Amino acid sequence: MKKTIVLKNVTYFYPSSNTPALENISLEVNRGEFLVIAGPSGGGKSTLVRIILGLIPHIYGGVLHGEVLVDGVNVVEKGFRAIVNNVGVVIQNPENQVVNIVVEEEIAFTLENLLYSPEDIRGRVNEAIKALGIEHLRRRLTHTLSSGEIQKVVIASALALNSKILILDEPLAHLDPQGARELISTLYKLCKDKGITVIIVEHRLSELAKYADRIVVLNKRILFDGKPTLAINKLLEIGVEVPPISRLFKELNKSPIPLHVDSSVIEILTRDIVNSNGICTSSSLSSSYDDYTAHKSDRVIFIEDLWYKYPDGRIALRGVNLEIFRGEFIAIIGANGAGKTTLIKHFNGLLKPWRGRVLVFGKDTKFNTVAELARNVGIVFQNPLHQFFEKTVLREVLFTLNNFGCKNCIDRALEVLKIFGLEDYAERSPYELSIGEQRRLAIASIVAYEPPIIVLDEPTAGIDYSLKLELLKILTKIIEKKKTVIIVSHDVEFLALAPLTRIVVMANGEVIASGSPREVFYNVDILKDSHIIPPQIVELVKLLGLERSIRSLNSYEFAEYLKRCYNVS
Amino acid sequence: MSLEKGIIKHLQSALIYEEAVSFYHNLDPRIKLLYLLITFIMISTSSILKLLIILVFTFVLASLYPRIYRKTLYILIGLTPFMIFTAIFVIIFTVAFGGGTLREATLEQVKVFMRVAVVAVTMTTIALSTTPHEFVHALVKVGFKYTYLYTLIITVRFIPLVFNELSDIYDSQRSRGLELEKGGIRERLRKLNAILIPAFVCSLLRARDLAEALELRGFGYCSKRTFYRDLKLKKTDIVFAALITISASMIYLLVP
Repeated sequence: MKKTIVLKNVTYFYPSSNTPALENISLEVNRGEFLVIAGPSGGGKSTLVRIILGLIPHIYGGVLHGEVLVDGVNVVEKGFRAIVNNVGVVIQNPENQVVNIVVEEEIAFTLENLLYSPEDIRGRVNEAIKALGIEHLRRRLTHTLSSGEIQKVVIASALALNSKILILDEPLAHLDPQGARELISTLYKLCKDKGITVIIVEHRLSELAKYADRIVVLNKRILFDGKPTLAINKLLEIGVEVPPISRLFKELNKSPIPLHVDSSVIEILTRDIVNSNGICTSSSLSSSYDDYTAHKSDRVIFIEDLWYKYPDGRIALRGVNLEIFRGEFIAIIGANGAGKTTLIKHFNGLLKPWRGRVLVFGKDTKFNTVAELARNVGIVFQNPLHQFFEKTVLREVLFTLNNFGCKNCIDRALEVLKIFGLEDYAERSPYELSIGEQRRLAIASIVAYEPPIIVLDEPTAGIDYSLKLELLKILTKIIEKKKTVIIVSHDVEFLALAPLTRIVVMANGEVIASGSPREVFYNVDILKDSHIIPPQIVELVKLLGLERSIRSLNSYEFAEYLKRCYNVS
Repeated sequence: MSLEKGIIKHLQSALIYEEAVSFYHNLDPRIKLLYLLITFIMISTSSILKLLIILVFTFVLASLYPRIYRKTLYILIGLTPFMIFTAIFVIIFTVAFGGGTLREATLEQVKVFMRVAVVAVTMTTIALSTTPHEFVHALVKVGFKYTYLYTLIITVRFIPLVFNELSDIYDSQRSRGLELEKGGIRERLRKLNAILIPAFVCSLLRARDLAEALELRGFGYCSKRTFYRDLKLKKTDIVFAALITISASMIYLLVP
């Protein structure tokens, strides 16, 4: 099979760094292959992408040993200009790579730079638009597109150039489940129908693993390179997210480990269940069901017929009614654009109702300032970089403490940093921290002043599995202190692991359902209306017909159930 | 903050291309440049009658795409406080120290208002109906170099992103108890760092991504570039060009 990318013994040091970012990487990618590169945050995935693109060392500098060939061109020697026609890339924040105002202009941009003739460009643009099914976007303005749409436009501009290699750096981080599924199937189609080599760098593998021809596990060096089914063990070992069904089989010590729920999985589990006599009755399980009504004593947030209209006239919230009680752990879910972030911005008065009212501890947010309301509601927004400005990590925490009246609270700040495992970085700049540490610091700076309600907007976007588990521990600790935690997320597999008391489902600016995780995730209609895909284990339980006896949400619960009730192992 | 924010948003939305089908959207960008050029020459007149006719003429032309009126209004509303302030200041100054009469000074300011209104309506006409890409195309056709002109496109492209980011940063810091409106001037300036530093860092990261993207997409490899649209003058383009040129000449020659 023809090799399209070849890396031979590549080792790379960033400028003024003594430790290599990548060490002794040898990798061959076949033409038309669907390759997934997985690994923990900070494992050198993005560095590898930059090396293949030729940006390293030509723009970044540093020292690179070894050889990099893309379609036979030595990129290290010839530079990225030599392969502009061959490779298309979608970076982590694709909105930053879009240069033009109108979609069609954007797709034509590279071709124009490379002096293609106008007729040729028009033909290629039309073809690319057709291949991705984005005719409806042709005249749209690029700044009005959603993340998923922008990715498609960027891919289209690579296709127009006839690039045979597509590289995507963490493309799923900002997509909702439906959007992620759509993107992956588009890429898979391009790969199989048009023979395009697709390389995806990603740590969200639940959806992705089943499509991959090969998985490379990278953590500074290549830890594994081979068939996805064989990669699972390695991925589990280094703490990368794997499909829950794979985790379930691992828990049950079964092999081969599957990557998705298919007929053979159902067959194996059904056989086990039928062969053993179930020793659990359905009633003995119902006690484990969550019951958020237990918390219904002390109301902290009360939202009544809330409407919100953007300055441009679009209606973002339509008659939302919601009550939140002390000690609850709530997730607000829904597709991108459903109104989740708009809703939480009402909790501390960043947005004021257009109609209706929001009461926080009995105070109407309309008549109180953000500073007053923020004493009770601490919101951690999605991008930690939007809040760092102090010289040190410690001062970031002190800034918030000072604002809320705690002067000279260094001890308290240090204590909080310790809880979040950041005490060693107290005197470092927040910009020197890794993504996971920055996220922890953002949460720490809010938790420090101990607001009774803590709200987190998409806390798991772009962080790997082990960091998610770490986050879960932190949130559980906060809950134990009888605080109320609200998270906005569409990461259903993360939510399936969290000890939530309630899930609030939003779609088109309305709350369409509210109930325990088991009620919500097992309700097909609700999920369909909100464009949310249920956790994989929920799908499995349903396919096995066990829904009436058990409503597991994650692989740990279900494995425990199967072992306990059916002796499956 | 919210008032300034409102004004900036209004001005910004008024000067951004909108996707639509209209006479002006179909007009050749070179003719639009000509229209702009002619208007600028015409408003240099000091005859109030001429200015009035030009004002009426440009506003009548805007009726070919009625949305221009609303957007022009946005700009004028945005500029009003500033214009009134300057006008009062200039009138007082002229009367007190320049030796002019109140009538003359006021008349001059009325002319300034009229000129601003003419520029507002023509600029809006062009900005709403021409993508920066088309603009660059037209300018390249008349001899400008594209690499410099693309800065314009990139600026227009990133204005909304930077504004959204600023607003997100402001929300983020207010949620951490930042109150810009409290404290003395020094204190406030120091607090402003909480907004400016994250904005600066995020812009740097964005600029890095953009620079890489431009490099990877062949930008600046050649001193020339092609354009996927064909610029060919149509009948309507010629008619419109003739209409504005002849009208302008007539106003210039016939109106006192």
